[in-house]
Amino acid sequence: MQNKFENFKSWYVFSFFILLSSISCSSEEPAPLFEALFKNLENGVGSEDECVSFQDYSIRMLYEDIDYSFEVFAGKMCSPKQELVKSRLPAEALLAGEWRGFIVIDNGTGSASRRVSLFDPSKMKNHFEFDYVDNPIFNTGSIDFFSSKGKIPNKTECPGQYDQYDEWKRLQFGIEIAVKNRYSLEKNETILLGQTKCIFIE
Amino acid sequence: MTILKMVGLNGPNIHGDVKVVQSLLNKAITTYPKFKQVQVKIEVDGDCGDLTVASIEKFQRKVMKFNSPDKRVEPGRDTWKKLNNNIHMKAQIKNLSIAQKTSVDKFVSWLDGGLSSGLIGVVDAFIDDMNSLLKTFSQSSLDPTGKNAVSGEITSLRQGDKQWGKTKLGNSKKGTIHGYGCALVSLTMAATYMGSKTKHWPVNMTPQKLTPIVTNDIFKKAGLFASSSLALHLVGGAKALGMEGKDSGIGAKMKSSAIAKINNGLKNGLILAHVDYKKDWKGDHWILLTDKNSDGSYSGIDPAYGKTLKLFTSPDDAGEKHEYILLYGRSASMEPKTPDNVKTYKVVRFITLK
Repeated sequence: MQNKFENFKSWYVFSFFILLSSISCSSEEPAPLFEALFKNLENGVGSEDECVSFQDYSIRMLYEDIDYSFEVFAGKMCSPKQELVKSRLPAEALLAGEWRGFIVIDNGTGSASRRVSLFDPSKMKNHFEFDYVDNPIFNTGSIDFFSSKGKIPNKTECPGQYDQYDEWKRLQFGIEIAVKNRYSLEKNETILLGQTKCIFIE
Repeated sequence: MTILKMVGLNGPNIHGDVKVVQSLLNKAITTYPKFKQVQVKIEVDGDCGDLTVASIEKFQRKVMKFNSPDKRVEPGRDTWKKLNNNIHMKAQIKNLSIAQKTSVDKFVSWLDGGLSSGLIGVVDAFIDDMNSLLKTFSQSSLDPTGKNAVSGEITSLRQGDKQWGKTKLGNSKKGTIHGYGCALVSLTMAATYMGSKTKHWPVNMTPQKLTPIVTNDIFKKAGLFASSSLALHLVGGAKALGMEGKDSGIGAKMKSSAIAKINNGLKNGLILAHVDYKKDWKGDHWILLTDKNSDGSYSGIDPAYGKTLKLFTSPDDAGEKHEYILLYGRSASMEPKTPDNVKTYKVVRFITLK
């Protein structure tokens, strides 16, 4: 009995030290990661003052009343002395990440009719915008995205998506056909790739 | 909105009160052109410094026409009323109830011996709040829909709020409530007013305490999101929050004749409206319609802003008729009524909640 008690005491002391060490380490946690919204976009590093730092730029978006103040700074940590742009963005704007030196802003409040803007800090204006359904795919020099054709498909027009089709029907979603597009950064043009897929409308 | 104590020159300047006044002063810049001529936006930091006091003074001089501004905003007094005049009543009630709870909590806390500040201040705050509440009770009878706005309050919520904005929506790995949660946040707001507990709710949760995070969990437990997705079954969502939802059908241009159904739905409940505020009639956003007002306008809350909007059937109140349902929205912050300040919501579908 005494032995069991000693074992229990040892575990208790051991657990206590583990707890203490975890508390003492907590103050040394790395800065929180700003998780990019889409695959292949650069993640950033966030800070308590709402600054998100990327490789070359840092951005601060603060919600004020009905829209966002949008500030872009050269370098990291949103240093006021290095402010490049101060502008306003609508309430539905969301910082998505950085891609090829562009700040990617995603606009929308629900799953339908979303729009991505590529903001060029060096020119202080949008370089390119596109409306999309489903998530866009950012490649090295291009962006693939789907846009709605507005056509309502039957199940056979959604090959490879039969399970999804059935689930969407069960959940009473609308279903449409979307077509794939590709934006080339080098050519600064968008071409229709023709590949289609079915998408839901909530 | 409400403040507990005076803000301004030599006032107690409670941090939260100061932030409310700073925010309203900033709104007033867009509302009152003469104020705009002399005032720029001030930082909403809760610190009543020289800039805030000067801003109150300019507001009193330019808008209130005071010859000798006292540079103070006091609860219930004229400057406060003028600053706060465009806030929708139900939103006021909710904010007021929060303020009341605070002072009641303080009072209970004082009784428990947990508060160090003096009794007089606590009792004063409590009495102020009770007076304001009584005033609101008397105003609530003016509610044009006849809803009992005191027993049922709608909490205004914003998708991007820091408390839940970054929470992943449904079964999505990337999409957040901030980016995609307009329908979920609108349903949550509705449920704070008319929801009731179902088997998926956490223990001790009440409708008034619902937040988008809790709703998200309830919907996940109820299996209302599509697999690996943030797509939500809305009528099921209403049911999981203890409401009945009747869907008008998948989005289409909503003919003006359907407005009678919306009006009818607002008599006994709320309308979750699928709208398009961009270029087409697809439906990209959900808002909550709360009231049909006696002047023909509608009240609604847009979850993108978390604000009550007054919605008109024409951009300039001229009563213009359209073939389809168009609602022109303005919040107090969107005054004056220039086209730039009007957001047009094209209604493509609606769910009647009761």
